[in-house]
Amino acid sequence: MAERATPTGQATRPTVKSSDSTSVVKRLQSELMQLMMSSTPGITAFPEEGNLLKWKATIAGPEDTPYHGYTFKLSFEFPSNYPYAAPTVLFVTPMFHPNVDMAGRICLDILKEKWSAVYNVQSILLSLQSLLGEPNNKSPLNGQAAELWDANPKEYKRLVAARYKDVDED
Amino acid sequence: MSSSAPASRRNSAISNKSTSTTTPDKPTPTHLDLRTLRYVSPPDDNLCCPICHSPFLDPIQTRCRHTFCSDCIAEALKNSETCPIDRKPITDEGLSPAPILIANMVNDLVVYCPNAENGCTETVPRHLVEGHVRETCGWVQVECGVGGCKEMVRRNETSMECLHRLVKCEFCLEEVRRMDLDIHYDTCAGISTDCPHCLTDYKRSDWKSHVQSCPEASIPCSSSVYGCPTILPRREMARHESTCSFVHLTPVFRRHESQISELALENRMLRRRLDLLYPRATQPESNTNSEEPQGPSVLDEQTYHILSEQEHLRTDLDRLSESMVALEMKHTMHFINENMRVKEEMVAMRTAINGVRMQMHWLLNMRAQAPFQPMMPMMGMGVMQQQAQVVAQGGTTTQGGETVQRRHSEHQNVKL
Repeated sequence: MAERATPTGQATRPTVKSSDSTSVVKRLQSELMQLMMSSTPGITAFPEEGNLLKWKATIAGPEDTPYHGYTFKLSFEFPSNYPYAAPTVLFVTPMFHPNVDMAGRICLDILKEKWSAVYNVQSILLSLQSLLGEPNNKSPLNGQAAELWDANPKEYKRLVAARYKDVDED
Repeated sequence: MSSSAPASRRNSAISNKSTSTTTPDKPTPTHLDLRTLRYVSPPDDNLCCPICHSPFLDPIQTRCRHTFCSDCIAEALKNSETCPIDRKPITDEGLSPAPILIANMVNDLVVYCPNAENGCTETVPRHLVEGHVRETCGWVQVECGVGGCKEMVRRNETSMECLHRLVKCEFCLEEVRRMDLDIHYDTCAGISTDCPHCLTDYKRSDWKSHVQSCPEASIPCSSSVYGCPTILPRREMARHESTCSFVHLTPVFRRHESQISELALENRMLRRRLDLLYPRATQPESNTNSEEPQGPSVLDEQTYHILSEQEHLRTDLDRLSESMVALEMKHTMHFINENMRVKEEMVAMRTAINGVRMQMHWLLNMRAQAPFQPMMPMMGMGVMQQQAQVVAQGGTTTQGGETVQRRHSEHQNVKL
């Protein structure tokens, strides 16, 4: 992986048509560079082969949460006007969490109306990591999870384990 | 760096932008997208726009004192009229140019010429890169201009002479453009070249065929494929080949080669056949193996039942055959014992009969001689018995005296 991360300017530029996608690619390249140069513990992200607009990422379940010990896979899909619009982020690993539905869709304000152009892959992943430990139980996508979070931590943990499947990369 | 520079830079950037937008139909070879520039050293993060992650282009400050590229913040405000960093509401009126210091710092960052990929090695401060491309970069395509020529040519190739003029190649008399002449010379068929082997001049068109037959050209022995390491000029090769043992053996090698290839083909066919057969032999096994665990438990139970039954039967069989053997042994022993006894008895009987016969003979003889010796039978009983014993001993020499002894004892037994 490391040898693919060339300094921003020297990265092999994919052929792109419009200047719009050039800026997206340039920005994503610099993000990738940043992620490669300063590895943040507990999160990883890398583009899919041959498509810089689709990334795969992982976050490790934080300590002192029911998710500790698990690693969750996510998919990122960047729009052509990124970073002015938020990427589509989904949990690929089946997830039991108040703000994640059965299809892996995430209810998080910064991925919707609170998106800002200064956010990046790293900040999204860190936000999601903290969402694991601090769910927003007031507007849940998974009602059962929201109820059990406070009421029955033991059962909650069991359901997290039951839902968790290590999804193979295809 | 003069203090008036930043303002002029900004102006030039703006004017450049405006010209490029107002006259899009005119090809502007000097126009370049400053976003695609490559920086010689990695820029300081503090000088990078948080939106595009590149050094500020035409930096703009918001009312909340955050700095962005002017294009980036304009685009971001289209989506949400808040500061992208702290979400404070801002509008276009809330934007102002960033401090001159910041503009100076980003403009002084050294960049590679945009034509670096074509060969230009210049590095210039960013604010001078447009001037470099417009005025001095030798790798920019410009109009030829000589004699009204409208063709494009690289700036460092412009000269007093128009490079697009057609000139006649002095060797092949073909007409080529002046700028293509050098390339043409490389392939021109009219140019003569020295043969590298015999140093004779040949036209390029004839050269190829000459090299194929040049007597000075070094060629490998015709048996080099079979291992002859000799490389000699062509004229000496005939002599070498007449003595080369590899050449002599070539027919053998050829035959071996063809045999090997035949065998390889056959082997491949056999392997294919084996592959066809082999999976057929293994597949059912693997099928049952794969079916057993997932098959219904009824099948399992039945199989298990049958298997245990078979095991029972096998142990039964083992036990039975064992006792059979024991029984047979016992029988044989009995039979042998009985046989021995019977045999002995028979021997005893035979001797007894013999004895009786001898006595009878003796008695008959006695009766025949009775008129002459009437008293003999009465007094000679013991003698007669002794004689009978002697006769028996002589008649059955193989049995020896033991038999006689036994007869005595048996007689005694009988008496008892």
